[in-house]
Amino acid sequence: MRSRVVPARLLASRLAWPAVSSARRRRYLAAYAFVGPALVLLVVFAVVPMYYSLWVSLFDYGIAGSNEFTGLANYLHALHDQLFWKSLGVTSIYAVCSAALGLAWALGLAALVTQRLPFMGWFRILYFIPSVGSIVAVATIWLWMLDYNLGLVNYWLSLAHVGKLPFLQDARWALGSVIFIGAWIGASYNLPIYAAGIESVSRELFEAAQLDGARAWQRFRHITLPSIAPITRYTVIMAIIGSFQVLGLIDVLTNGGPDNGTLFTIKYIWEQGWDFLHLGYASAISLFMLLFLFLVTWQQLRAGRA
Amino acid sequence: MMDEREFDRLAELVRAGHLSRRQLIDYLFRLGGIAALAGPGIALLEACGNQAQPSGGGGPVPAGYPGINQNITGSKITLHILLAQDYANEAPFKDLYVAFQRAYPNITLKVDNAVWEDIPTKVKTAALGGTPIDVMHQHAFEFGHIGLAENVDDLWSKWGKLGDFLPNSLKDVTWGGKKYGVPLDVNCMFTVYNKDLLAQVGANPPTSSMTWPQLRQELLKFAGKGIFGIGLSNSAWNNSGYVHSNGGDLLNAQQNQATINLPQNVAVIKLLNELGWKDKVGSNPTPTKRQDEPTALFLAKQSAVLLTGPWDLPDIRKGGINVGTTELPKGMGGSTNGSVQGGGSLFIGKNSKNREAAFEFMKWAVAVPHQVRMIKEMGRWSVIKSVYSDASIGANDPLVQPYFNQLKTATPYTLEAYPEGDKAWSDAVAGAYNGADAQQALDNAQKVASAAVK
Amino acid sequence: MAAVASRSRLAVRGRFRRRRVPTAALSYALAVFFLIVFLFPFLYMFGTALKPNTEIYTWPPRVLPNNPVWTDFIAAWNGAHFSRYFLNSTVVAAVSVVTNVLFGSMAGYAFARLRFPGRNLMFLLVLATLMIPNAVLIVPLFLMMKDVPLTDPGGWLNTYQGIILPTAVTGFSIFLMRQFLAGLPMDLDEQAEIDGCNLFQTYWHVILPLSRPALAIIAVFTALTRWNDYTWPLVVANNPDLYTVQIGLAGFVHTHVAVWNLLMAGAVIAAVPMFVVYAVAQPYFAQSLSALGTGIKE
Repeated sequence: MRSRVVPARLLASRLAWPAVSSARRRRYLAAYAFVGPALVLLVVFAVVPMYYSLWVSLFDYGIAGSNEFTGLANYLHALHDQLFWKSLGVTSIYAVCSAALGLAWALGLAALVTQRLPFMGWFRILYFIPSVGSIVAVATIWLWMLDYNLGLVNYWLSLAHVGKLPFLQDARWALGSVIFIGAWIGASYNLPIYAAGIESVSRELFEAAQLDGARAWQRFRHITLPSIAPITRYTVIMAIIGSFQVLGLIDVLTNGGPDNGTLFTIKYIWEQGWDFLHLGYASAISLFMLLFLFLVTWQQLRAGRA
Repeated sequence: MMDEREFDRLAELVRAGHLSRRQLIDYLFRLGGIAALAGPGIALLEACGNQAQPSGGGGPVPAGYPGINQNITGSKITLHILLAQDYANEAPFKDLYVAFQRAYPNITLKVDNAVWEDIPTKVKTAALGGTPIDVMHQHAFEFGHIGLAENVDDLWSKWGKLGDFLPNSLKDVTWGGKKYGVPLDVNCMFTVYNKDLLAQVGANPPTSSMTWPQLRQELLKFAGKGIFGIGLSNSAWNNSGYVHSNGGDLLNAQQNQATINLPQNVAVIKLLNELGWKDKVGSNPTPTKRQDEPTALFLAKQSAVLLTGPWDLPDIRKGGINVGTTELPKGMGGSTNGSVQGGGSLFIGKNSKNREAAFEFMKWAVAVPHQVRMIKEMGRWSVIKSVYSDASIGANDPLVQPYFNQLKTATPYTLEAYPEGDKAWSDAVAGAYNGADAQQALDNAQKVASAAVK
Repeated sequence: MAAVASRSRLAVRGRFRRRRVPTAALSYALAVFFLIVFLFPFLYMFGTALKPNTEIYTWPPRVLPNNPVWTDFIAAWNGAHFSRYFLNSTVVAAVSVVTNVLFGSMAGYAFARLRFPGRNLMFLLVLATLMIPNAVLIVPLFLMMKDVPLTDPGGWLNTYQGIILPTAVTGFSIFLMRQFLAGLPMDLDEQAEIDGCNLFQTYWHVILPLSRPALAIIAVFTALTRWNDYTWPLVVANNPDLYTVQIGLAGFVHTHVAVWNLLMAGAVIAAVPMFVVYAVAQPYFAQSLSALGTGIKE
């Protein structure tokens, strides 16, 4: 390992970094070496394509080879595109509702399974299963269960004399169904995170509170919740970001319908780009969506800090 | 793995020198990987003696296939082929690859497969990437319209076999008067019904001269009986068939204008969706990937009438249903006859460097012996007229007769070539089946589609 | 629903603080209820995987078949060419795990424990990449893969590296490592330096062994996402020899007919390796997941 130090020192001296000692220069270079591979991969495969996307968005990009420079026309079109704005609204509603439902669910479950009862650990392991399978397979099973005529859920409902519900037929029901399934998966996925968070809260705090006469609900509200606030912040942001990437679920369950009621923006982008071959326009709205997502995330971070 | 028959056949091919060691190894590996090589492979390789490699000018051509095309026997060619997954790996096609490469030893076939729905994505990525695939499998007219398929009118004229084909099958490869491929197989929608369920409610079975209103009268007898008269579908393809049956269409004859809200179209769609939400004798159609739901209902004996294609017959027969078949109703008034044609064609990727070799392969795929095998072993119906006079294909089966008759008048769903028009039509139909007013829905679709269809 | 349940459960626990049995019973009842909610669809999946063709469509719908057939699993394995596709998926997942763990931990170490100019900016960039949806990258990535310089025409399309490289490192891996490592005491580094280690030795011999929990998480989540990935492998792989398990599964949804029982059987088979991976790594989860929240204030 000593041989690594020598070339670094030489490199550092040749860089002639102003006002920095050569030892520190060496450390900086070493640090860059650590960060290097990961950063290079990310830049090449995540950042550069976005620039390429930006480039394409300035054209009426034709698949058969004819590209016409149109400047900002795609962006202007997006501003007037009602369906695009509708899709942002639909995705946002989904993000907020499925995150709220899913995370509350995960938190409640975490409180449940972190109790010191025998076999609770087994439940905790099994609850993660929905996150292990492929989203397509899981969505297909739900498609079957929620089927109007032959599905299990409507069968049970008809047995209970409630009658059949249009889970995937009606635009609002469909969005609700998708929100529920998204929350269901989200609860399963976030459970280990919350469970770990709850377990990391110091037991002394609990014991002290108990001695002071605090009841269980008060302990939960005043000790557990604030202690895991950073984790909650993290899961909320990740859930919102994740919501904007949901595509497989929509493809199987609703294909964006009925009546574009579940047309998530990412689905709209895919449709415009691959089905209708408006690659330039698809690139433009994907950049718009990224901007929207950045703003939402930034706002979340600031709200957390306040 | 491999059964005895196949083993013997392969051994014979190898011994007679028709199959080289390399081709054998290739074929075995595709069959079952290392395991296949280890077992039967070794036995076969031991069985082969000296094989004579056929030399320049082409090799042996099996009976019934086109003669050697000397234009492509010269340099080494690699043909990239992309077929639908449920075709590419079937025995008739596997034998086709072997036989074709035997006849043209200078040509190597690289066959890829993908699920039918994913093929358009692959065609587009190949085009984007500048490496077009030579032979692809979809509706050629669609890709002719987009500009991703080669115009092959010249190769057709040289071939001169236009008259061999079922006339309507050629519509799958024609756009704007030009031909963009060779039809591979064809099918269409017709009527299937459960005789027992109909008798139960005292309804008359559908006949080939029935109209939609008359069918509706019979279906109304299912009201309140706990099962559906008919399984309804809101798929774009199916509904285009209903429209055709009433003499309507979604595109004008020149294929440059959408005609979604023609009165004939509206009348049929209105009747059908009212069967669902108004008369309550039709099932509520479900979205997207459950397009097989009408079939599901029929197989579960929860509906009496099913409008589908011949691909469902095997399952229906296995399900022990007392089934009858007939053509689609003859429109609203009884004077029109039509249905929607499906199937697929082979087409050449635009700017492919191996046009003639690719076209030659396509000729082999529609050779009579291969088409007969496709019917018998894969249930895919032929585009070649003369095949239907072969008694062994089961054309005399009474269940299949109405299907053949319907084939003569079925036309493809051409609006598919305009993806935005396709979506507008899809959305309108889905809305109508959900209770929206058919006239309004189709008017809206017409507006959206007109912007996209040019 | 969960909030109400937990509130009532905790209220009950408050009232009967001395008698644990009723509250334990209630907890178990709730746990079993949610177990059903989470696992019932998979029971249905498994039941469908066992159905013979004639029992797929029935009324009333049945969860488990009357005459289960285990041959569906064999048919699914063969029909979806799983032997080859499993190999491909495993290669993709395994290599991705190695690169994510190695490069992610290196970068996380640097971000968490070293100071260098541009550190915060770079970390922000890493976080930003988390927001980019994969679907948006497909076309540009495809074109980039096709035109890789100094390679055969076709670039890295239709190759393992073409499938693996775009997600060889994810922002998530780097983020998780950084969060976890930020929680370790800094004297570890100082002590190692005093003992004469350079940065790499510190990283390799001191930090990495302590990071096992975080590495386990990265490994599991990377394996999960790569195993279940469909779109990118589909676009990049034209040669069926390169197809992954998910592409194989999609093959059961044929043009007009979907072979549901085989599809479900295949899905069950495909899910088993991932569940094993999860079960093996699960004990490590607790120690590292709690670190995710710290430091997010910036």
